[in-house]
Amino acid sequence: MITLKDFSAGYYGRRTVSIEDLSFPDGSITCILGENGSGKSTLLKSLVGIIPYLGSARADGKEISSMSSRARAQVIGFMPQNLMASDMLVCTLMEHGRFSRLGLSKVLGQKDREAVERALSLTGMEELAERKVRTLSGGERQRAYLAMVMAQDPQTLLLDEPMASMDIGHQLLILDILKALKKDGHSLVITSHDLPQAFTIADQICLIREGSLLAAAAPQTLLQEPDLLRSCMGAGLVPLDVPGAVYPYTIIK
Amino acid sequence: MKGWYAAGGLLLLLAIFFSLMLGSRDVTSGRLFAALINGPGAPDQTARIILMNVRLPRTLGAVLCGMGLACAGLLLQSALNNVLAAPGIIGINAGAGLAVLAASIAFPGFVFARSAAAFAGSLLAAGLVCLIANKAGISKTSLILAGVAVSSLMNGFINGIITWRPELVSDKTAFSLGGLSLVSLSALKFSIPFFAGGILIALIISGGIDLFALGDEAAAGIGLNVMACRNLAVFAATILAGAAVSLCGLLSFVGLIIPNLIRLLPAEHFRSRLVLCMLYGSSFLVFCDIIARTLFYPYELPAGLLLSVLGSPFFIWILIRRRRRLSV
Repeated sequence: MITLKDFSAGYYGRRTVSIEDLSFPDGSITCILGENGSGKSTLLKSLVGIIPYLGSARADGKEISSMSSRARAQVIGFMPQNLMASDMLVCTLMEHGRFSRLGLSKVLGQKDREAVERALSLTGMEELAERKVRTLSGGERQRAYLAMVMAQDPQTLLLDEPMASMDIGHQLLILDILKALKKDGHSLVITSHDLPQAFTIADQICLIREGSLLAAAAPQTLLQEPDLLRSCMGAGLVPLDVPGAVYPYTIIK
Repeated sequence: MKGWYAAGGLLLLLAIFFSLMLGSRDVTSGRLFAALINGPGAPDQTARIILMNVRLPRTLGAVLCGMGLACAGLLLQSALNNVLAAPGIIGINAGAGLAVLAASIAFPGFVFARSAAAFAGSLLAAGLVCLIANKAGISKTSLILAGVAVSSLMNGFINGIITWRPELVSDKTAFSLGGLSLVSLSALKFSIPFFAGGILIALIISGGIDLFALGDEAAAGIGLNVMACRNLAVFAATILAGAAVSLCGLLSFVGLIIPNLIRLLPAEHFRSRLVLCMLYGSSFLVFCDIIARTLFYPYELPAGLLLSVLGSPFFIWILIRRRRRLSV
């Protein structure tokens, strides 16, 4: 579990995000919602050492900033929003996900290979394993990087808009994977702009506006506060009673 | 892949063999081996003197410098994610050039002082670049910009010194062109630990360098200490290039051409590319040196001049190749 207390992070001496008290429990999905520039990505980046933070951020009781990069990566995984198109093969990308668990020789053991194969299989990337990442579409590249983070096998996965470029079919595939990860006891923290999707999958919704945490509550609780949601996202949400709907919510002005 | 390693090794052996044999006085292979095997007591002292005082230092210098410059270029291109990165980009060339001019003034005629100064100057310049880049947040862009700034500053000082002491122009030109004619066994002994150290550091961080291709954020996410790894890569490139500059002056394009050619081979990991750069970089420079000293015999071209002629078409080829990759 990750817990934040009197936490703040930002760029060039300016605090982009400030949070007094927040936690991401194990076996749960937290969706962080907010407008562009509200501090969602800054929060995730500060938890993996890309940006320094002030205050306290603990993973299983240990201060994150005191961990080495490798130790932190074994506990927290991160999929950024901007994904590089490199010349490496997809299968090689998966293998890099095991970096924090390998010795100096960087030779993969049996357990590492199994983690890579499981990640490839779960994300439906086996057929693309021998392709170069550069040749993948945007959605395929997101799946590849998600598979890399899954091969990393951290307790908490921080995913910055993991389905932004995916078609609906692959979104449903990824949603199933996220639910399976949650069922396995992992903690998932996802930033998103997709209100219906977030309210469908999340156990906890965090609303961030201008770097401040407005609310952190269950989706059903926030549905009772339409003005709060509207002030943060510029739109409200109402339940949609349509049998078989994947996202049983619709956006209203 | 094994075929490429074997070919590289064979090419290097051939290069060394021809370099030892060919010159203003050809030494047959028989005399060569006899001089090598018999040691100081060899009956053919002429062959031994030519071999030990001229050909062997020059050949070993080309091997080490070619290897060092190619590996330095590979380190920088990988760490900065930029196929046009080369040792000159982090101020090494300018720093070495300034230090050599200063040594020419302070210790005129003392060749070893110039070599030592070149090495120290390149380290100081690269150190200054890293210091500035660290203040700005050590990213790929800040390193390149800091390198441009430091190089400009040092080139300004160089031009100032030349204006003040015009008689140093020939020293500056000779150093800028680069060549292997002045390499000695003592200079080689001084530089070998630095070549070894640079390669060792590169091998240790090779796993981390592979991750730079993912971007800094994804690399940090899977456990790489991006700043430390990049700093170490630049440090390793600096001592490799600095050691090479101290032996052979400012040989351009080796650090640019060889890593880009190696990138065409089916070697995905940095470690494989590093070994290939060592093999092909060293044989490339040895062959260039052979051509430079035999093409217009009895006149000897500086190896750097030949490399400049080869480098320009290579730049054009990179540009055309990049455009072809982007076009439909």
